[in-house]
Amino acid sequence: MALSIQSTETIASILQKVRDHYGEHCLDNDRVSDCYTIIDEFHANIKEHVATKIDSCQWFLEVVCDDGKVKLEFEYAGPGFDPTQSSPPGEQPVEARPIGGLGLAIMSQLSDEMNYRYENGTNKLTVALDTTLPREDDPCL
Amino acid sequence: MPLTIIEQYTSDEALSFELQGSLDSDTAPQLDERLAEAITPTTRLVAFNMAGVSFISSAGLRVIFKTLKLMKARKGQVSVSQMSKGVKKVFEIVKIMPDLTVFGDQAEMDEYLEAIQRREEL
Repeated sequence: MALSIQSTETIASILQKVRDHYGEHCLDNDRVSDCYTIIDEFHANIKEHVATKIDSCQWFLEVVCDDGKVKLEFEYAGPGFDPTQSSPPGEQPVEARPIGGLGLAIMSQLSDEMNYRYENGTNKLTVALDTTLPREDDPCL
Repeated sequence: MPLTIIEQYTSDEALSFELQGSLDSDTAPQLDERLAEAITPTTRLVAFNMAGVSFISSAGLRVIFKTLKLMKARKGQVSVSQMSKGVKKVFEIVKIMPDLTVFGDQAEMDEYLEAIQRREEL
């Protein structure tokens, strides 16, 4: 079952929800900080680009640990936006580069696979990360 | 995860902070405000010990990036030490590693700060 998250929630409370819901060990692998970063990037984008237009909004997250991968499945209702089309950061010197616009590139490059689809007014984004082999006592198994 | 910012060293030219927790969209404004208070017109080096940083996102990077741009405009520098593998990966994605002064450990950073202090005392 997916977690329901309000755009007004803090990232700390969202990550705690993930740990409470899926178990402390679900993301216990060498990609845990990548997962946290990706969840924060998604949430920050929702707050900046979706919630501001309709006050607050709700989005959904499901974490699936399967076959050496962690899949973060994000969903939210709203106008279609495909984050897989982001450009990588430019090569120009730091002095000439804009300070913002890095979030989607970070999401894309931290993941091993990103798939987006838009169905019936809902944005559905799946971000998959390869993990090291889980332990035998991993509750995700 | 909250962010704890510990000011380790302050002089006319240099500032050093130890960061503990996550540098994310909630906590980045806290670091931004702290730096705005601490950086003076004479600051030329801002150093961050990242050993306690569990993860960083673009919001946190923006603060580091903003500080780096300010220091570079003054011919100064931003240094980082003891980044975890995950944190370093994010820095590499946004391609700012070549612009940072990277120290392997706190001792190396301390030695560098002490050299600045000795120079200031002359």
